[in-house]
Amino acid sequence: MSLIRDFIEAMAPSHAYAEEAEEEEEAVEDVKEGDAEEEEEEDEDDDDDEDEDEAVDPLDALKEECQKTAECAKSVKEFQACTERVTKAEEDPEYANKDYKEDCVEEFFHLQQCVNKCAAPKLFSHLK
Amino acid sequence: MFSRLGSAFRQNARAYSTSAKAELSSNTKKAISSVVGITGLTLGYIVYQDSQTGKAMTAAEHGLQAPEYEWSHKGMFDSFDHASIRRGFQVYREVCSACHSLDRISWRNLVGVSHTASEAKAMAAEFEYDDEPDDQGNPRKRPGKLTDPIPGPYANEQAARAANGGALPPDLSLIIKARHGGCDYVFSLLTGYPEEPPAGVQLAPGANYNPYFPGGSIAMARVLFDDLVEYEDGTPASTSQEAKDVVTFLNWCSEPEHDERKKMGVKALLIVGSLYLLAVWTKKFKWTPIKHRKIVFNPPKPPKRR
Repeated sequence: MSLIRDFIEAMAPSHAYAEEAEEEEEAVEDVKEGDAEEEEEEDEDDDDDEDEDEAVDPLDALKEECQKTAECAKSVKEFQACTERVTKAEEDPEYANKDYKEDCVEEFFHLQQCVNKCAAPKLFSHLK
Repeated sequence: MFSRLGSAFRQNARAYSTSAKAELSSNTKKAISSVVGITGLTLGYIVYQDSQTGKAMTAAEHGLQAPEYEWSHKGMFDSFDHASIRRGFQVYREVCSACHSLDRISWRNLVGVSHTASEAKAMAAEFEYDDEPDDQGNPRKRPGKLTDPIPGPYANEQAARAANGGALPPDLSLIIKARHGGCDYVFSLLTGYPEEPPAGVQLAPGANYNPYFPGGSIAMARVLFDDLVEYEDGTPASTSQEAKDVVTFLNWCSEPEHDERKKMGVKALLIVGSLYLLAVWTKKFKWTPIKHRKIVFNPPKPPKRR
């Protein structure tokens, strides 16, 4: 039905609803906005207290969950092994003069690709 | 060069045919063959040396591939989530606008998309714009109107670079169209800052690590954090929620015609589809008698001879 209505609208001159329907609503909105701003100001002081019982970001939660899956366990292990290896190499006093310095970007990418593959399709169902 | 060589050979051949110039022609031949030989050897050596080293971009230089997210406006028949655009504008205004401009969007563009006219007017009036000079010719300022563009944080590029350690924060009006991966890339970039860079990564002072940014070293630090903004509709402001909303808003900035375009697409498909069916039917209608006719040739009987 909406499609047919669309066609009729396309043929006939249409109305844009940029203005508020009623003046009263605006007043209510303004009051609400005012309240929200006040609350914001108040909250700034209490932020430190509230931080503890805040909900976790769904993306972080999903990524953590995904790191524990069997598929990503291998990548996690490799990344950890690389980090250990590189950290050890960095302790070497000759490290600055070495020709080749390894970094863990590739291992990190593999891990992130695995985590993304697992987390990305699920994330938006957790968001508004 | 080749044509010259060719003509030299031709002259050579002609020289062979006449015995008088035989000695001269053999010298020319020697010179040409030695030039060709040296050129060939040199070229061969260069190609060989070049093949000994390979240059390919590393994974870090490419940047991490952003995963595909389920954007609410992704499908062929999907429109923007306008509540998300409204929240995204709030994120832009409270966070991004500290460094990034939005030159191609005016306050009036928000009207009917994410805000009402009076809301947009009120926001515009918070900023001062250049007015016409007064009777003495002194410059004047006036509060913003709906027709004014959204003002950027810096007066010009030099000011922007000076304030950001030499890096220019790009204008965000078309950023979704301007980056490979579009929404997915910008969302991943905003949410993808790891706690610390992978071991062994060397960063310049003032640079931050982000795997999605080609090269990994980005001047922008992580800006979105949980509960950084307080949404007026009560949506929990997690980092990923803020990123999703601001990316939806930026996608609208890049493609303000998006909703209308897809609506037109549906209509076009319907009309063109029915016209196609009509064309098929017409063709069949016209061709049926021609294709089903039977052509029979009855040769006249030869007249009998008497």
